[in-house]
Amino acid sequence: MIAFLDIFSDYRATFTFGLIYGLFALATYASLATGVLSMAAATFGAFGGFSYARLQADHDIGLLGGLVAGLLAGAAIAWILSFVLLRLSSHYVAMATIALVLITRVFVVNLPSLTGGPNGTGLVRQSTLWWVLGVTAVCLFVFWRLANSRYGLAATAVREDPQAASTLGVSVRHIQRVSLVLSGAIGGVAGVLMADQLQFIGPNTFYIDLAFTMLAAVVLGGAYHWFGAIVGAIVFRFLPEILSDYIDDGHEIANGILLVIIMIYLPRGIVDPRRRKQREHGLGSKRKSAKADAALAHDQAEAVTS
Amino acid sequence: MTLFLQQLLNGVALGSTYALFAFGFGLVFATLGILNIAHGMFASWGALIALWGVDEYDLPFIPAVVVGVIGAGLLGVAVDRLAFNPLRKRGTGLLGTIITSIGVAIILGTLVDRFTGHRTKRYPSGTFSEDLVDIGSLNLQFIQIVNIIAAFTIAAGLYVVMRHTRMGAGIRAVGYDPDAAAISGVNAGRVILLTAFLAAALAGFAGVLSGAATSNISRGMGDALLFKGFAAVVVGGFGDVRGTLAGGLLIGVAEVMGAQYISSSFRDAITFGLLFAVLLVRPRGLFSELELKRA
Amino acid sequence: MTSSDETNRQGAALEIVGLSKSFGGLRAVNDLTFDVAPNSIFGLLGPNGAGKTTVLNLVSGLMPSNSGTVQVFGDHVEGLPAHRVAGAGIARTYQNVRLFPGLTVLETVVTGFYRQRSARLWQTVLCLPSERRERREVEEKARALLDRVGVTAPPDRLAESLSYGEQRRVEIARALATEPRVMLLDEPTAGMNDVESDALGQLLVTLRDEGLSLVLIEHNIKLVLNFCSHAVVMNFGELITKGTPRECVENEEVQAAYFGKQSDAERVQSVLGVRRDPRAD
Repeated sequence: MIAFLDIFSDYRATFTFGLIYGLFALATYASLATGVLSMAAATFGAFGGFSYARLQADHDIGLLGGLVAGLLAGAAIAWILSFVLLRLSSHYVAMATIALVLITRVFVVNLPSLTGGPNGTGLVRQSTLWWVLGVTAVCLFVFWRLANSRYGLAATAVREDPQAASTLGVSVRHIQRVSLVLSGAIGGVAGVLMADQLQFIGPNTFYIDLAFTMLAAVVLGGAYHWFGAIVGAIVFRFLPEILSDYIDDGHEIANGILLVIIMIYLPRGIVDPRRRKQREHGLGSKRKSAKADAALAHDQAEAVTS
Repeated sequence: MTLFLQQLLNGVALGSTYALFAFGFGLVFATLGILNIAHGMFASWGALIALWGVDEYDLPFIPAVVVGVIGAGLLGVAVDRLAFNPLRKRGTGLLGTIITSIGVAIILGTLVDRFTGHRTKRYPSGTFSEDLVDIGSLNLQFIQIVNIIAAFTIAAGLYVVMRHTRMGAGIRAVGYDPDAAAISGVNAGRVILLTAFLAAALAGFAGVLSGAATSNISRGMGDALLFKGFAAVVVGGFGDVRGTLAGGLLIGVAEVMGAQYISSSFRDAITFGLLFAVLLVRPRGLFSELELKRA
Repeated sequence: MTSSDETNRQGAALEIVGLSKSFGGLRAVNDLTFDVAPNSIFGLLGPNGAGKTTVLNLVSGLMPSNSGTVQVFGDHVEGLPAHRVAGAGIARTYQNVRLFPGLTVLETVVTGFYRQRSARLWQTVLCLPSERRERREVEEKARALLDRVGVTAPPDRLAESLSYGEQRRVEIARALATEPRVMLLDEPTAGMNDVESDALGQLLVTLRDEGLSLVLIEHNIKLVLNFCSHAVVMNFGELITKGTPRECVENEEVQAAYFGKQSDAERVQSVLGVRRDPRAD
């Protein structure tokens, strides 16, 4: 038991940041669950993190206040952005959010009064691993409650077949907007925790690296279930850490190889409710669902042109 | 006025590099439907291979460039076979492809870092002429001229190939509908390999020239090209090489002029602001007629 | 009695006037006008490519029309987005059954109850009793619907694992969950044998008797003859004829549209078991 705790404390920091990346991944999942492939959570995190840093410096805000502020900041910016982003068709949303993350950095660099400019801004750490665990647990609880709710089922419908969903009375735009605001709230919170744990944030903290990492974590862990985001982030953080004890310098490459392999052999990620259900019902055929997907895509195309 | 024209020229030279990179990046997106995050690494690798040619094998500049370009092209083919082709067979969508390309980018990038020792490398002085060439009252570096000529020539060449040769028609057909193309007798497999090679080779070429012009051969150089090339393709449009060229030039000029006349620290803001604005108002690009159909 | 006579008395369940849609130069639907009487089963017929599915897409709001009006019991729905059209009381099913992948049978039908529910996000997250009660009620209603349409598979099975006939019924149950006044069905018996088709027809009759007005796109002539009270026939986007199913089927232009040549008409008639009225010559 003592030995286990020893190992645990060695990896404490890794685990803490694994959870924080998990929250970013969860924020990405929130909108992905309605079919919106957005990397804007990095920007939401920037808003949350820099708001917290400013509030801490100017008003000595505590952690809880900071989390609330970050949540509101992220949600607000997400709501505003949704009016712009949701007008784009799905392929362009991904590109627009990449552009957004790029632009955010430029603004961070060029507004030193708000963000400390290229030199960044320092913070005093007020959170512990328990805080991070607590926040993560709350967020996971929210998703667990939403999963089979009126909203959750509508979200799945919108993601899988927006046309069929709309003929059931579901406003696709509305559901996607809600999911973006949810993404903003969680992203903002994740940004606050990131800033607090790092004790320093700069232009590169909430940049493309974070965006790609959180997206990779969601897909790796399972883009079709809320728990997948956390699983993916933990694996993504721990794999290189553990490997670096054994292999010199090769640890980062392991993540790259892992991504490629998983996308080929487990394209729906590690946590996949459909795969589990198929096994339970003795279906076990990937081909059947692939055919169903192909038929669905064909219908959606036909519905437009016939 | 002279300063204005000089900076304009500098912008065109910079934009030419972006355009060269963007040709390949846009080709892969328009034809194969892949938003390839790893494309920047083809540029870094092209530059690196050329550098090896010069450093280890004492090759003169031009043969080294050729080796670098071909090396990058072959790398592109390898990546397509190993990473993207299995996805193609499964009908994986945009998300899965992006993730795989991120994985490839990590792998290739880590290796670049390994070989450059996490530093920026440069071609040894004397590899190519560093003279300034006078054009009236303006001047340009030799490499900048090479950049500009290359971009325009290759754009013209690509345009001719795509519009007026069977191979080009095959590439466009596969991009529009691979199944229909196959039925019409296009060897889709061969077209895909060719496209992968060509796109990566173009990126390698852009990488070599960029590495030479900025004395920066590194992983970061490739990443920077990726984002600028991405912006160029979005702003200029996908399907048409002329639009991509225009987009690249526009981005390059906007960057240099913005740094000169507005603020040097805001230079990237203008580029990405332009990118965002175009995505909002005219997502298919300023000069494109095509609407993006596939995922 | 014609369809129009009935509807003049009560107001049409679905009234379409001058509906048109072009894709570039192609006129997919051209100036279509017809109405559907309440509590009836109406057939929308025509060979493949006639534009029938496009009509359904226009009516259900998945696609904007170029001109024309669509009214549901007097309420105009043309130009509305699909989710608002659904709100006006139009539900539909699709040619290839479009169920949501990954959902169980019960979950599938529950998605149809979206409009009938009012739970807000915060009520869900806070585990309020009102939200939990609504969930239970909706699930009960969903089970009742599944019973009503005759789905025998257990509700926790993956919907996509069911047989085709059962999937079709689940899709109908899901559409019924929206509490529609008019239901559009796109080739509901495609791929079914005579026994299954007849059973589905009986289900449609039951739904009609319970107050629903139905529009069927169908190729199954027997089904149309047995269950539809009125029909229109389209070809190349235009209306060729309207009337009772028998009248439609006996119409020579219709037969030519389906089978090509008028000289084949007699062979067609014997196949269909329809004999031309000699007094019509």
